[in-house]
Amino acid sequence: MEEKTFLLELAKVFKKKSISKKDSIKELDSLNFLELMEFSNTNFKDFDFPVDEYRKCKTINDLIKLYGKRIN
Amino acid sequence: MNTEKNLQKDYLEKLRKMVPKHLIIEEISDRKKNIVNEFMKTRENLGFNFIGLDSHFGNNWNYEKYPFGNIMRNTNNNSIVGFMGTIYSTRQIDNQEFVCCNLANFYVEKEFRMFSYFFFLHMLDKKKIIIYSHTPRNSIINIYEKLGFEIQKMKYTVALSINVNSIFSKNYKRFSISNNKDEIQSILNGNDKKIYEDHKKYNCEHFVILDKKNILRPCYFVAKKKKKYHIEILDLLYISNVKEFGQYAPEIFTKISFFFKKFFIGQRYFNQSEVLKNNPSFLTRTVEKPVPIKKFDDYYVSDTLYSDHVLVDA
Repeated sequence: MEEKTFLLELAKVFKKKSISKKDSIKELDSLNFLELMEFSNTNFKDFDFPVDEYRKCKTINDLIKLYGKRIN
Repeated sequence: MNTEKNLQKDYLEKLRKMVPKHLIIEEISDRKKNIVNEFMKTRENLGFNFIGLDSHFGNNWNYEKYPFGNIMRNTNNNSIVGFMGTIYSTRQIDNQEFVCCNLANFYVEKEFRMFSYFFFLHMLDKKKIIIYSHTPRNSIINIYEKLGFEIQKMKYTVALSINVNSIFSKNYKRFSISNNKDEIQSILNGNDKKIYEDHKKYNCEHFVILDKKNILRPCYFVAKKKKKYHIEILDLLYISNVKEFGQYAPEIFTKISFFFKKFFIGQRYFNQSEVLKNNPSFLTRTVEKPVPIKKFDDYYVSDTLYSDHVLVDA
């Protein structure tokens, strides 16, 4: 998935107008975690979401890195 | 259908595996309620009025089996990181007895909020109960939805209770109201008597409408005085036989209004058939609120007894 599309889709998940790579992950509503999971499962079927790693993420860029080459 | 169920089961299992091992859910029985009271007292910005845990509806309720709620504990440092209140009750629906659970107060520390769903997974493990929440926070509706709860719209209608025309109707004098304890208790059937007993310690109004012609069975009401939109409202929490009294709603509401000196009456309902309509809609105001429900055998509860609408005074 293209990075631009990922950010657009992520913004929809967290009901925000837009999200940028520099945004803090804390700004996202943690209660939308299940939506993030659904988004991840639907778009990255081979990806086993690493919850512990996600909890260490500080920015959206860190989250993107979790997906590795799946986001370009 | 089975495939759908299996998919849901797999999904829930996947979510369960995502919860860190050091988070556990503990049920709060009578012996442990002080732990929660202390924890909640020290939280800031709860977003709701926490009144403290104390024995609620009915006598001899088994709080070991049907607890006050659940806490989420971080076993790494033995700290409590969240609480979800549960109000259990037994209800008669279509002459069958069901255990119901109203999910009430809900709080999770910010750091662990992403695992809020763990509370609901714990509840979903319980079999043969109807689960719902009459006062869900909007921010967690998505969790209910993702976990397979049905999201129904509960309407709340506040109506001007006096219907002037009804005062001149021949049926106006046909009905009388009684809030006499002895009279109420002598009239009620087994199910309504239980409701009366379970609610009598709360700040509720109990009354019956009696038909002087003795054609209609007495209609039992549980209501609560509340202040909303800066006006005093009598909220009807339970009406024993709506269908029979439907056509006399203008006369009955007008009587209730004069009796309690309240000029607005509120009703919560899912379907029009569950409500008494006394005035045209331009004299009413209706709002909707999502209510998550996990039915059992397609049964659910449509009234707001045994919920925080009763426990919390506005």
